[in-house]
Amino acid sequence: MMRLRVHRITEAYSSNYVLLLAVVLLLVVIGLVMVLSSSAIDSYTSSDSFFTVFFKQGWFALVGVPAMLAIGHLKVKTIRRLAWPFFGLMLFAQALVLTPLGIAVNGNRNWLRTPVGSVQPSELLKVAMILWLAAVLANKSRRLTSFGQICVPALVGAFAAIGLVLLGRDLGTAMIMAAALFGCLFFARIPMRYLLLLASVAGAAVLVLALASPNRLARIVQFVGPQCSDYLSSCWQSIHGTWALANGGIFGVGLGNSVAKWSWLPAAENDFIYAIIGEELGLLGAVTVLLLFVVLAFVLGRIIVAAPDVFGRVLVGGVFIWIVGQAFVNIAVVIGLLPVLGVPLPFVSSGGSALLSALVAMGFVLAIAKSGNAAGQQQAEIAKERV
Amino acid sequence: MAARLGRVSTRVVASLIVLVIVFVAFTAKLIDVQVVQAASLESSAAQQLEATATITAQRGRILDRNGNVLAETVLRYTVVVDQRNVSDYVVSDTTITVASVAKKLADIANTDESTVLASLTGTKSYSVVLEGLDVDAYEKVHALDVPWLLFKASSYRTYPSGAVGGNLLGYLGSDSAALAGIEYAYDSCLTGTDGEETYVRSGSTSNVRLPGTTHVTTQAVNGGDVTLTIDRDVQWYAQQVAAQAAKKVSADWASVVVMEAKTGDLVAVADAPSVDPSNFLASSSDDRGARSFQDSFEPGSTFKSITASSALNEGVTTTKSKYKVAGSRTTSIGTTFSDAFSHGTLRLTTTGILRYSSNVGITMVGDDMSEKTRYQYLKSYGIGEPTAVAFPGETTGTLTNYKDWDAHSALTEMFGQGPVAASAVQVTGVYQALANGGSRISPRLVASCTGSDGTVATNAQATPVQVVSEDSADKTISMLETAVTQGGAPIAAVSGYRVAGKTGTAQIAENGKYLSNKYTLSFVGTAPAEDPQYVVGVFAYKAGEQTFTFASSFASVMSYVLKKFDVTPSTTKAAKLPITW
Repeated sequence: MMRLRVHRITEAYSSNYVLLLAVVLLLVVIGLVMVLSSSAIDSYTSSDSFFTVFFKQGWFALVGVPAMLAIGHLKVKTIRRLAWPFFGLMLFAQALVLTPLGIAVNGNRNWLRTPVGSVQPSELLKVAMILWLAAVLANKSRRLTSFGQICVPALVGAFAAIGLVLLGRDLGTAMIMAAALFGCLFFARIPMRYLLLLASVAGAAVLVLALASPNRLARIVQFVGPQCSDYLSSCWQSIHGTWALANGGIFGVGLGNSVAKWSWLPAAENDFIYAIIGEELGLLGAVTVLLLFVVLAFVLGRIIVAAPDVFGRVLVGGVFIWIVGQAFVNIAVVIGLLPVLGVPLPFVSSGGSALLSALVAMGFVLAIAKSGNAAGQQQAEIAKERV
Repeated sequence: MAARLGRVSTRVVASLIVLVIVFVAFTAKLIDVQVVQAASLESSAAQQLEATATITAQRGRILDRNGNVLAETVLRYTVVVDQRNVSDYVVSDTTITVASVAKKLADIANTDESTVLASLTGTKSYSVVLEGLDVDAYEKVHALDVPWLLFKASSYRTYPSGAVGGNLLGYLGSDSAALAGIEYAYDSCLTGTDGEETYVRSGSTSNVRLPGTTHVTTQAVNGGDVTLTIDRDVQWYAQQVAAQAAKKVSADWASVVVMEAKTGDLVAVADAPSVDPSNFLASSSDDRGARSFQDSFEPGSTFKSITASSALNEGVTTTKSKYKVAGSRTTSIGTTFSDAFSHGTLRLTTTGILRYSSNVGITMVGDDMSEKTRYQYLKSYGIGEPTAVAFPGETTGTLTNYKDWDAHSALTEMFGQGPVAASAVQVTGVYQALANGGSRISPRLVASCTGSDGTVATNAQATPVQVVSEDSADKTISMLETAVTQGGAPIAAVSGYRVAGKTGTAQIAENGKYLSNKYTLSFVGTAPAEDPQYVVGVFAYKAGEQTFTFASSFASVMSYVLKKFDVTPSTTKAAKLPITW
């Protein structure tokens, strides 16, 4: 019996599947360790326990990892059928945020009060939007040379979702969703000229939105300026992030020994957790995490290429741009290559909704990877599609 | 001109190429921040993240000659609360009330429960609950684990021997500044140099010292220990005697000085009333010092030894020189002075004059020396000059220049009244010179300062001054021994030892007139007379009676000192010098 199962596993699970799972689990474990280390102090000062934030994150991981594996076992057909209802549900939830049920944190209204605690619907909305885009773009896979076909319903639905997030004033998430949309379209193989058009529209929109908020503008101005002069307010976070990295040096100060986490670096366990990684684990740790995301990108790329149909390609492509893009944007902020945008590091940063939605997305990718492998022998069919 | 769909593999490869470029760029930036610029970034970070703290240097101790601790600095704890945080609290389902905490605190500190409770109640952000807790009590309070109790450690000066030597030790003010005595005079030896350390602090307002980040930049150097020449036990005994003596003769104050005859080292300098250095505010400001050093008085008959020894040294008299001593003497300016007891003309030797303490007689002995000579002898005996101790606020005494003496004071000076005044230590110092073969060694109170690194800076004894010849000194001691043994002050005798000494019953001038019923009583002497080891002086100021029994205080102290230091009892008898002729 046992031997039979082992035999079936090696047969059914491709190297892409195993590699993806390994990278994701490794990132989740690194995340848990670093969340514990970086949140301990602030957790203690606010709740008298060093573990409050860590346990919360741990619970989400305990729920999220089995959920990812379960979703990975679903048939692609089933997942595709879920696209519309899931997207509809999440749009509704995101709309609820704008009602009195919503909670604003740091000026961003993207939290929803629920009986089981506060959740961020926008995180799952990202996954739902990508899944939905994959479904609708796959339906029109042969008509995507027409801009009108692209617009309806894909662009309309995506803009609705992004628009709802923007109404909650969460520009960071909106930008990531825009990038995910771009990824879906990119891997749906739509013509380059449309992509360039959409990219310039998105760029202009970001500029307008940034200029509309004094808070965002201040972050950008201090970033562009030669020397951060306003130590006490707008530069505080990025300066302390840089100091944390510098303190780490090549080998790091050792796990648990961060100085920045002692109430110096705001969001040390969240948006700036990469600074704590760099401080405690040094350049070696920081580059290792960076490298894990590069490996993740290569695996996702291989899965895209091996995907049996447009649905799988667009789904994995959207997730690819979202997760890898968000990771690099987050890291770019921490190392000072982008102004502070407020996006977390996928799998690693503290935040239950974000972790859960990233794991759900990986579940979808695992399902595609499995189906891609199952269809691996049918090279002829893939070749036919490429024509 | 229909648009064409792109190729998937091309797009994947293109994305991955972009990604690899970004990866390389990010790695380069990380190397820049974490390696290339790390040092300069860390130094600017240090300015914000690091804090400096002072390492308090501990004040040194004051020790007696045997190393017994008379003053030391220890850690004491203060328990404070923010009264707004004080409330009942729950520990594993049991409610702990504020009142029960107050009771426990009061029990530990042995104080009043209601006072403790009052310090917990109110809206003050800073309220002192208990003060001066020692380590034991602190640990008990700490073990109660009361969430709103805060602790502050501070240095605290204690005087483990209590009020013993309090007059000499001095005290510190509430700001730990030395205010008096040895604490003040030897502040530079006792005070250390504070060190400094840096540490990385936490952000926000909590300012926590991060573990493992403390670096000592300057080591604290603790203060040195001052070793006195004082013997704690003798000092304690002398204080008892001084207190009893002052009470017995209804004096304002009394002093007892014990000195080593051969070195001038002070073994005890006691004053009554005395000050308790740990509670100096309880003493009136007049009683907080050391009167033995700081107050001078007309010494009276104890100065007759100065006149007699000077006359011997000048060769104008011998121990057996014969004088016809009248009951009183009228000066060239018509003033008169007399002896303490009325008598007709007595045929006394110089020894007899000392035995009967005749004022008239001693002026006859000293008359053959010029005023200048007598003045110079007084000066050599240390009158009118501060001692080598340089005690804070020390008096020089009074020695009016002989050119300003009138015909009356030029005579009364010879029996210690008029233009002379001295402190108890100065008077005792005169007898040290006589006991030491005429070689006066200005007294020493501090033997050494031992730095915290163990280096000893010895406070050398003063250079001896040969005031009178050894022969003159020895003869004076013999006369003084006769004075004791031949009935002058038998009460000063110490069994087993030969004692030489002199009584003094001086008048006290106030506003230019002598008080009619207040006297300065004294007895200064040395033993064993054949080889003097110790000099003891006892003094009582403004005594309400004129009594020779005061010399018993001398006998008590001398007896204690001789036994304490195992001085070999005398085996020879006192030379019997003729008193009359």
